[in-house]
Amino acid sequence: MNDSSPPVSTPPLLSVQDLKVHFPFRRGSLLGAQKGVIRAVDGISFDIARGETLGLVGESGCGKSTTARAIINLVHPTGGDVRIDGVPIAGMSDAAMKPYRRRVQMVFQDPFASLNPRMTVGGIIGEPLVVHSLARGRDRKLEVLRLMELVGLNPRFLNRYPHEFSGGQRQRIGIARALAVQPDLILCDEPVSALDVSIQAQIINLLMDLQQKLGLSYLFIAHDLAVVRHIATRVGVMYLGRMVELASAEELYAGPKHPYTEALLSAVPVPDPAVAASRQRIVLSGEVPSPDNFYPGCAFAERCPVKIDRCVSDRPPLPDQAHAAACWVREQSLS
Amino acid sequence: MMQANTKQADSGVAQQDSPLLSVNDLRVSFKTDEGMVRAVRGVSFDVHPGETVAIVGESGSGKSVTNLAMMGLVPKPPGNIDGGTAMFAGQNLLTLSQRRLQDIRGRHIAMIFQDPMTALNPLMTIEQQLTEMTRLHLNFTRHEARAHAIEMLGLVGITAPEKRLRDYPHQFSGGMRQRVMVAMALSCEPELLIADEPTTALDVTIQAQIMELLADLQARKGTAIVLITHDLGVVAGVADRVLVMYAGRIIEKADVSSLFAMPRHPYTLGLLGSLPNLESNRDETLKAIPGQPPDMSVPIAGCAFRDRCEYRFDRCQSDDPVLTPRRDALEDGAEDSSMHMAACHAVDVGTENEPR
Repeated sequence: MNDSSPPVSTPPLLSVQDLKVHFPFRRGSLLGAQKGVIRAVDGISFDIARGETLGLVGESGCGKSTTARAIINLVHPTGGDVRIDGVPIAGMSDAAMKPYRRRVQMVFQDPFASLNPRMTVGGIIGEPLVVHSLARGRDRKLEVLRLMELVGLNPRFLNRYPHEFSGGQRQRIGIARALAVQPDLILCDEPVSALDVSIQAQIINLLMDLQQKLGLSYLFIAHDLAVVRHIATRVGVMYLGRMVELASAEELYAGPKHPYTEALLSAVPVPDPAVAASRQRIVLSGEVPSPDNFYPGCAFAERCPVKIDRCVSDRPPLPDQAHAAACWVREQSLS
Repeated sequence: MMQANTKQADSGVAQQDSPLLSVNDLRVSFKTDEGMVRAVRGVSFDVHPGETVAIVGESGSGKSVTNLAMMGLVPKPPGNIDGGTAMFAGQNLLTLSQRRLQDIRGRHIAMIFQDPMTALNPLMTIEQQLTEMTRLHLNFTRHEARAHAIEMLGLVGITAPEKRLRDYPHQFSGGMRQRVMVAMALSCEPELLIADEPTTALDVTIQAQIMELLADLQARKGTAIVLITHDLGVVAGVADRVLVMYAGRIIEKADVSSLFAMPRHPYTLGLLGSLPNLESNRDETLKAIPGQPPDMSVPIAGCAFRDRCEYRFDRCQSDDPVLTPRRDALEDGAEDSSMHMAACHAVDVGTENEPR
């Protein structure tokens, strides 16, 4: 993606370049107000190819959800470039965005909050067909029934309301609604974290099955690293608004480069008492610092067990290579 | 890692002591618009001094209600304790007056919750909240209580505790609030700590810190812990024994290594099979358990899991399976609380397609 490499035949489905989302804030009373800026997303870049699943992991507040929202302009990016099939869409007006919204859909974490309680399942799934003028009357109903079948909902439930469904079924409704406009890319923001384990597996299998059938691409945001390992082809690790590591899922889990990724992986509870007792955990001291501070160097330096002087003053870039880490110490190509 | 080993050795010793807490045939129901919900349908278990017992189950399985009932915290109405006993230090917690319960809660049995803000008063400083219990239960003077509060905050890893005492809960981050709640729960050195999803709302790196803290405090003070969680990963790391709950019943109980190595109930098998892990492969489909948990407002005849179970047969429709030890274990002799038991006809009678 750097200037050095000439553009290849077709641009990636989604390309995000140096995306920034900063929220200005005022603290204190009206008089002695102190102004500042929260760098929720602070210059991240990645591509998603057709049929690919990019997993985005990191702890709460690291900017993964804001990244997804900025991609479809639910929050306006402060800077950077978002392209779909090479067409820049960041900062587009709502009207100009409409055809792109159809191509990029979102599935949210909380299936209890993201469905309108006053609409029937049929209404919820059919609404995007109305908004984008895709089907009317009987065709619309048939399409809704087809979608319900596709996500494993009994078509008999067409006229029921969201409160009559369990969490897993509601998530299926949300997925059917996203699929209604035949998108190319679905941004999944923690789609299974609110679900019980046995139901979680049903939804993961459904998403992977739909990807096979429809050739979908996913941006899959989750804090559960085992879930991401299972579903993603490539994985990006975020910390304090920055992408600290980006690699294929196999490489990232087999040999994490960034010390933060290492600590994160070692902290994941393993459902096996023998492994749990024998493995070495890296317990990080302290907590994720506040994103309202400005870090001229590496944002992780404060908690990093291997930091050097340079980490505090210079921000390590994420190199343009297959397995990349933004780390002065661990990334060979930076030293 | 050392810790895990010594803990297991300890619990082996603890098994021989008489139980600290003994719950027998606990039944709890709630009156709702949809009908009578039988949330806990005959639950029995023991907790011995110094051990960690994990109660695992999905939402609605009755794991939290079981513990709320013991603490006298089930709202009545709509809730009702339909029967059973919960013996703690020779007293049945279920029939004690609120007054007597108050002497036990906080002093002998403490609780920590998923959301620290449900336990912390946003209008009181940390000092007021941390000293309240020791002054009440241990008759500490204000000076003693303050010194103790500072010590407890230091113990749970809060830096500059003298200064932080003056702060209000909102001035702490999520992980720090959880630490404050742990400090509060342990300030009277209770014999039993009930931790209801203590790390579910926290990020993994912070979760690791809190679990380490609990294990460390347990090793030092010998506190018994009942850990309520849906996270089998957390269970594998810290529990000595595990109770698996489904639809208001314990359907399997075993020591932690036996449960993970030889799960017997089809639900436990399904739960372990549906977990993606860090080595799992994209090409493998997760073995999801089909269907949903049963509607608890409808009386359940037979096994509650049967509609989702691949091993079901006629008997599962009519007969309610009870917890039964492995046949080979039975032959080995004495029955004790560490025995691996499952409530399943398919396991019990040894049908052709027996899970184990």
